[in-house]
Amino acid sequence: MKPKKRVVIVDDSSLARTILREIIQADGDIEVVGEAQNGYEAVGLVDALKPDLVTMDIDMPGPSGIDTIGWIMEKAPTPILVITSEQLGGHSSLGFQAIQRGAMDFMPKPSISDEQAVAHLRRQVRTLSELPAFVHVSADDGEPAPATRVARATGIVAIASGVGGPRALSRVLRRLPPDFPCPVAIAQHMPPRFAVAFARYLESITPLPVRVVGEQPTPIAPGVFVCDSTSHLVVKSASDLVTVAAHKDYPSKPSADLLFGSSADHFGGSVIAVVLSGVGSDGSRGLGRVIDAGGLAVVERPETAIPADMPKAASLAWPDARTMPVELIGDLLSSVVTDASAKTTAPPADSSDRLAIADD
Amino acid sequence: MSLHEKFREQFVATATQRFHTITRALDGAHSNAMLDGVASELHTLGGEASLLGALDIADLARHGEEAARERRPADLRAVLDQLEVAIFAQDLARSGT
Repeated sequence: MKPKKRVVIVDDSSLARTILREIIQADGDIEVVGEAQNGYEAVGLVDALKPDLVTMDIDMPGPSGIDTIGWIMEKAPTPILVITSEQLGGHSSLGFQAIQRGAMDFMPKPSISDEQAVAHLRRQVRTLSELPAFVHVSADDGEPAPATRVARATGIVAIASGVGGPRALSRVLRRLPPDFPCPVAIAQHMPPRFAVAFARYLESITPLPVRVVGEQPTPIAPGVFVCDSTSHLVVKSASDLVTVAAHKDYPSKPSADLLFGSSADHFGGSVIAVVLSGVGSDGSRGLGRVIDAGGLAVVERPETAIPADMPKAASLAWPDARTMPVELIGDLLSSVVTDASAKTTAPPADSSDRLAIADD
Repeated sequence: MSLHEKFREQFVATATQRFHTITRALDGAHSNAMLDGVASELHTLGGEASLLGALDIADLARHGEEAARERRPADLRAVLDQLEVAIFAQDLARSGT
């Protein structure tokens, strides 16, 4: 029989811990092995019990959950899921701050009356507890690559990013120069209504302008484009991005497959599609459309992606996709985009030309 | 028994206790530290209410927390009046009255 997943709950409310325990243990495959009511208790408990996962509140007496995450990742690295009633969305970037400190993901406290929400919580606990713990790496990856030959904007960079993706994304975006000439559209899997917070998080790590795309067409220009997870981010034309509320073939929002596919439709071979960490296989299907159109497919190396499901699925489906450690992807984008912008006025004749540029 | 029913009694007891802690604090001088303490208590109450699915209480607690953090004691009092009624309503529902 498979051993139960072992979880430690950190929350200052005794009632909240009791309810979370009930929710988490409901299916019988997860056991809450410890509870802590503040950050000090949490660090000692996690170090002693070595659980598979920690659930973390943010606002607690004494050290905040954000500080506690940092301490745990230094002393006893463990997958951490932030579950809090803090205003994570709107203008707050607390959820993304938690990710910067080392948390895997964040979600609002679910209502016990909401069966979908509690089932989602249990799924997240199972998924994240399977992941290897790793020591938090400083966000400082050095200076962005110099923009040696920035030419006019050409094409689009489309990125698929799932759970664990924001950390990878930060390492990619930090490497892009302030005058990176290409639009960067991101399909980031996250809870609904976090787009503004996500945009603020991205603004804190890149000098590029960050825009939240809505139902009205947003002109494509250099900068970063995101959308809320209540809708899909799609390329409407070579000049506009837009969101659509639903698509019959893509129930999960936002769909990277849809973003990649629509990018290929309107930008042909001048698309660069990147698949970063995440659960599931979103991005794989759309990557095929990009490759067929002559674009460049880049996949985060599965060995270093956490979680690696999305990169694994993409590399299996498209062995010719360029697979590389996340810390090199930003440099590759800078190199390809600036070179391609300088060298071409039209998409290259075939994909091998583009791949050759990437290999330079 | 649903999870909501299972935890409602405990929630009402906890919410009532937190409410009294808050009103006692407001009876004293309105220092910034006191208002921060009230905001924190309301924040925790809001989280507990969210978990229980008592969304009216969660919403009121959030408004009260904002009023306390933004040093608006008159607004905070008004929210607390509504909060008391909402907690009482949960208690009535629990006892089936």
